[in-house]
Amino acid sequence: MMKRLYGIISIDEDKCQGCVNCIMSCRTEAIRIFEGKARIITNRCIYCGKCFRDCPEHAITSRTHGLEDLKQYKYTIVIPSSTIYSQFPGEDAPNRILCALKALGFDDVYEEAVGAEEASIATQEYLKEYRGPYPLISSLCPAIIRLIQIRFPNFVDQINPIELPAEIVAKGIRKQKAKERGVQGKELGIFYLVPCPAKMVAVAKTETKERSYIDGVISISDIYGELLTALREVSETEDLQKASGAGIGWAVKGGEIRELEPRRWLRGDKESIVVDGIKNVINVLDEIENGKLRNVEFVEARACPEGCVGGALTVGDRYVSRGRIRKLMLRNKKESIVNREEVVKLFKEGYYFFKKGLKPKPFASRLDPDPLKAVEKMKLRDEIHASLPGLDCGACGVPNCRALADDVVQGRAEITDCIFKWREGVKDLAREVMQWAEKRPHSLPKRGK
Amino acid sequence: MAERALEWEYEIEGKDFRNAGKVSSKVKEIMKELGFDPDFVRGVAIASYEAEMNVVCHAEKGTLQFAILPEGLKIVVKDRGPGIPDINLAMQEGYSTASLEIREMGFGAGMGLPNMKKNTDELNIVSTVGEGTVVEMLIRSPRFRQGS
Repeated sequence: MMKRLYGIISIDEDKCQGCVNCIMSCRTEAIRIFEGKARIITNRCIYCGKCFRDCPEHAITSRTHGLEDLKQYKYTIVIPSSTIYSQFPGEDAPNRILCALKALGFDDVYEEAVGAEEASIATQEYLKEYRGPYPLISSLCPAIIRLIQIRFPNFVDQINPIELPAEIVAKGIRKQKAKERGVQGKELGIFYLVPCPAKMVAVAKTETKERSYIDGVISISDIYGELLTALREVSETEDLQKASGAGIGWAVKGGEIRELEPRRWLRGDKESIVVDGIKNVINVLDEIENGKLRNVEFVEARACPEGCVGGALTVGDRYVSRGRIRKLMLRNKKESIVNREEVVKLFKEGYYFFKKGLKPKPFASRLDPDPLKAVEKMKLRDEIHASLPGLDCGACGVPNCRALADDVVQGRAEITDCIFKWREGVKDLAREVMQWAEKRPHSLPKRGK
Repeated sequence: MAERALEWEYEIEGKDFRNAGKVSSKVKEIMKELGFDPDFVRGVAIASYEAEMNVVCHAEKGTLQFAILPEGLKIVVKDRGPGIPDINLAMQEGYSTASLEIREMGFGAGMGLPNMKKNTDELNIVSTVGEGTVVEMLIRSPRFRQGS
């Protein structure tokens, strides 16, 4: 089996038919078809996983850890994304799901939702003192963080500098639980059960601290079958659910802002925005950058439609999943174990903040580092673009005519990759051949004589 | 940058709120592609957006010219419209002649000209009541992005 790897993303080239579905679906134009197979331009990719869903051959997937990796550790803990509660029916399911998860071989389970509750309080505290620049942008979707780094670099400093909920949980485990259980640093393996590749990358290649507190990442879809079996057999002997609806709600769009609106953590004299889907997020950020959307205080932006329940590595239907999470969010009466005073104290010590600032990684925009060359390339690019048919058919392996013009100028493609241009070339050549065929040496008698 | 001037010109339709902002968005894209500093781009984008919106809100139609010149970036917005009777008054923050319906759409807060002034080095306005307005903005010493 021929698999080509791009960081955590893998393309099975035996399955890839070289069709244009993925290049057309990618919102950051990070995919090209080259020699009949999809290739990813990794510094444009935001690891959202949209192409996983849109590939009709299911050729694009991600590499994750599996349950066999638990063996490397003496003591293992799993942090399930709150999305897990949406993958199976039943309002009383959360604790049962957590018990079943533990039964798969983990020594303990700690919910991501508890970290979300801490992150929520930390954000509330941060907003109290925050005086701009506005809007503050949520840091919970790693695909959006990366989108901002590569496409909206001047918004990087406006990303809420509070860590990912799962990292907050893992940090807490390392700080306290490890000691309680008497497990040494390396004997303890913390696994994060994720709904999407973006969270996977955010952990594996963290940019907000030296090293992640998490050791391994497993996707929901990879263990779904085993979990389903375990759910049938498990006996609920333990009370593992510690989170309340407030934290669980983060799995759906609007879940974060919902916790910021009451008690006026947000000032209310400004707008707050919840936006899902990369295309919509790009539009909103564009309008804010242009100054068209103003007076916005907070933006909760999610790469996946409906939020994390729409993640590429989930199994359940995203709309059904959203409904299930909403039920839990609204009806689950469980009291949270999170102690507000404790969190505020830790917040003031700087416990929840990024340890390193995020850096801009502009890619999508600039034509050349040298301004003069950039000008030349722009002129040439616009000329080439104008000469292309404008069908955006993708047959050249590039998502649209403008992107092909870009690639030609950057030396990544040739103008004859366009089948219409190629056909024109062949036609011109044929005409020339005909002209040559008409010519006869003067030494020969004229035709017809 | 000094060797050749680069110029773009776009048309702006009055009262076309659906397409409002597209012209300044194009200016922004060009600047990003040429590698200007992101914060600098944002300032220029805001100035050109305000000028564009003034045409959309008040005038019948107009044009926006954007040029990269040896002395800096120049944006000239010309319109055929009512003109500005008292430019000094118009420069005051919060002063607006925008109609109620335009204000209801969230525009016409009286920050247009002040925002243009804030984000540019030179702002010249020539206006004839009943004929139209020419807004000329110059931004000196454009900043380019550092590093790769």
